[in-house]
Amino acid sequence: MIYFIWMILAQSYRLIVTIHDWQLYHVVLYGVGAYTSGMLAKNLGVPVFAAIPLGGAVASLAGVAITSVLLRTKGWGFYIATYGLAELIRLSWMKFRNPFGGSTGIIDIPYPPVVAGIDFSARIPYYFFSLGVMLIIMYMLYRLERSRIGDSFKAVSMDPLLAASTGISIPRQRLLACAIGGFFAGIAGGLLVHRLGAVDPKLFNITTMLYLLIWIVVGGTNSFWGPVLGVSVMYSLFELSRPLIQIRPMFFGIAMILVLLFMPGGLEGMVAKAAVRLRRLRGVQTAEAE
Amino acid sequence: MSILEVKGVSKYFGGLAAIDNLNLTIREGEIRGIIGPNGAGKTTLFNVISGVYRPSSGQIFYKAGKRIDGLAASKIAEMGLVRTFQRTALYPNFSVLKNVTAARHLHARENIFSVFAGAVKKIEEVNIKKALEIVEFMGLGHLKNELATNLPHGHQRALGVAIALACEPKVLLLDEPLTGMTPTEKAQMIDLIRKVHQQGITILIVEHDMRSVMELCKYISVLDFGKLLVEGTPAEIQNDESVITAYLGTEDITSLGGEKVAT
Amino acid sequence: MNSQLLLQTIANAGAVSAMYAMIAVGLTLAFGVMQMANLAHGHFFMAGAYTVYALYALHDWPFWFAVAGAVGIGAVIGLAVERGIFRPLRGDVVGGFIATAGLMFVFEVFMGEVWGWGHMRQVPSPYMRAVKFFGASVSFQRVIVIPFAIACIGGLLVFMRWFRLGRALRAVAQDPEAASLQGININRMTALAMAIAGALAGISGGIMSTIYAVTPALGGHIILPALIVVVVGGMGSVGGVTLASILLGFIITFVTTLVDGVTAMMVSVAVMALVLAIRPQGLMGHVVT
Repeated sequence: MIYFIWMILAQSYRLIVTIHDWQLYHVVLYGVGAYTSGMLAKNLGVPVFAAIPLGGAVASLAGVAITSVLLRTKGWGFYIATYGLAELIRLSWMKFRNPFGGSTGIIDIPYPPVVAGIDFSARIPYYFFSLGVMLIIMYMLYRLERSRIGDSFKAVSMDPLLAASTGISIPRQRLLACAIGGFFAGIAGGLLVHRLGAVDPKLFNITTMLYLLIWIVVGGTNSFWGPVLGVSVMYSLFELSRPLIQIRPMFFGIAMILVLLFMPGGLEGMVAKAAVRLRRLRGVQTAEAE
Repeated sequence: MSILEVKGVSKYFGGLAAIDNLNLTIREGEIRGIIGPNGAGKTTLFNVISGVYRPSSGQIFYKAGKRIDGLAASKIAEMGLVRTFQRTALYPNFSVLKNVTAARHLHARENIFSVFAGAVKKIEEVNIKKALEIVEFMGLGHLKNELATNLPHGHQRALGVAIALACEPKVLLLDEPLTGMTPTEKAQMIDLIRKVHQQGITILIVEHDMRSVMELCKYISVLDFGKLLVEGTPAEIQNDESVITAYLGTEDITSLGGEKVAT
Repeated sequence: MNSQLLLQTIANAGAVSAMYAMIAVGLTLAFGVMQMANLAHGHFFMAGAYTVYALYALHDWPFWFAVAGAVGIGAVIGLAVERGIFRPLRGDVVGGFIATAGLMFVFEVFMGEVWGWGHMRQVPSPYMRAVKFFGASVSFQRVIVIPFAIACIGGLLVFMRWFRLGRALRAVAQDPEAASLQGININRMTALAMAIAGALAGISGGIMSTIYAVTPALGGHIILPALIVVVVGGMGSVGGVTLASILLGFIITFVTTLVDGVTAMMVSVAVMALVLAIRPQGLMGHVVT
């Protein structure tokens, strides 16, 4: 379950990374989705399956709001400022006991209802529900990356001046990227909150964001399959290392630094390179056979 | 009729004037050469016209008095004013064809919803067809699936022009399109630029290679220290006393009217 | 708020400003020279605090010797991070940024394992006296950081203006390519910048260790306001960052005293957003074209 949520987060974050906006508010948008969806369902009685996409929409708006304030801030300052504004949102959950519940968060959030005889509040149906949502989102992001929009994101990140000279508006593309990414992050938040039945600000702190970065960087950002690999391998390791909970962050921190220093393409890059080598090897063999 | 008018434009960098109260009028359909010694402000002029920089003062008009100075670069491109870059500017990780199709942005109607609805398929087919035509036109047809980063330098320069053409410009600003090319490549490029011009596109060209500029352009503007020194036909420029003085002491002295000597 | 509390709050704000200034000036110096800076900088501060704890509280060194030790430790860590992370990743802003984010994890776990998780290490104050400040009594220990910050930052400015090495540092910050053409060794300059940054974080951490409870989470707490200060002041500008430290030091201290710490952080982030919306490069930053 959590694995599907991580996958949605990592994959939607990668879309934003293709335009090179490595913001640090993605996990907080995930929280915005969780809070919005949870509060809509609990306080206003909105049906769970309607509250989740609404949470996505609000998260998307929050992302657009943050990035549009910072559109003209460049590089390092931009990354730091995204961290700061994400904290502003997160701290407001802690600060305002009403309606956000303060640092203990919100409890008694409704579980999904029974639809067509399937009780979605039970573990197994919800598992397949979130699996389905994840697959749909992955498919959409896959299509999006291969579309003209995906190309224009990559064009902007490769050469912004050239892209602008061909009529691509960089601010518009950046906002579009964070709107789409934020929407899916918000959906992930909705999936989480209606399973847990509770939400609190600690879930969305900078440590969670750093783990997301680690999955992405170790997996590799060059292709769609990097985050898939990153989440699969690293999250499994993360779960397996539960007995070492105290020192676990150190290993992941070191892993990320080593990948950045010595494996710029991440795991995916390594696999791709190995595949090329293998193919070449096979090519040589067939050539010799002939 | 003038298609582009630069009126009293200055651009300062930290107190130094890169261009200084410059006036320039480009007629529709002409092919204008802009020359001048290194540091004369030619590239800055292009950057100001194309919206990379906002001019410190002055105005730029495009087509019957539409003011474009201070607009975003993408907006200016949208209006039909497209530039190439002095550096080799392309998307290194895209194939040649994709470099050109990506530049068809202004002729695409795609949004996040149409990606899934498939409604834009026809438009995209047209865009790809058009991009293929441009790639063929620029003599890159046999390389269309090659990654741009793997192309030899001459072809990369040609791809830069192809990207600009994909926007279907009305005015094309070429910033040193012949830099680093072999004589054969140069001849081909000059031929192509002429063909582009024959399609009715107004061309401004900044170039160091004097012989090529003289060959291509009927009218030339000479810049020096950010100011307009003189304008005239190639023959007038070649014999102008002030132009010769301006080039004195620069490495371009030998290139006046002749082949640029490699330095 | 009575006048006694007001004056005490002003004194506290001065101390907090001085601490931020020392941390943030190091960050901004490193940023100026390398175009990237260290997210784990707060953990350098923490390392300084633990050094003083170990030397002074556990091994009975004289307090100022222990602080000198913290300076050394800070500088050494700064050099190590420069050599191990920033130098190989030069030019890769995102890479350097994320790598030091990973470093935060490493430091935190390291400190936690060595000194114990959840233990608050209290460093006894070497100065019990209070100073009179317009009739209000203010703990000497708290304000002693102020003259130190003035001396350190003043010294740094003098160094950058009047000394050859310092001028070289500034030249690299302005234009690395031109500087290297003039024969300035870029590697030496980045190492120097990181050593200075580390030393400043070490000294401030060392002095402030008597006021803050020293825990492995200290670095994470201190880094956000320090980063905000750098962004508000203008990346790469020592003067702007000093100004922003005072601004935010006062905002944070006063809001914390009057309302609470969470609100103080929220207000300072809002100030940052406001400044960036109007001046994207920060108060005194240069526009990078």
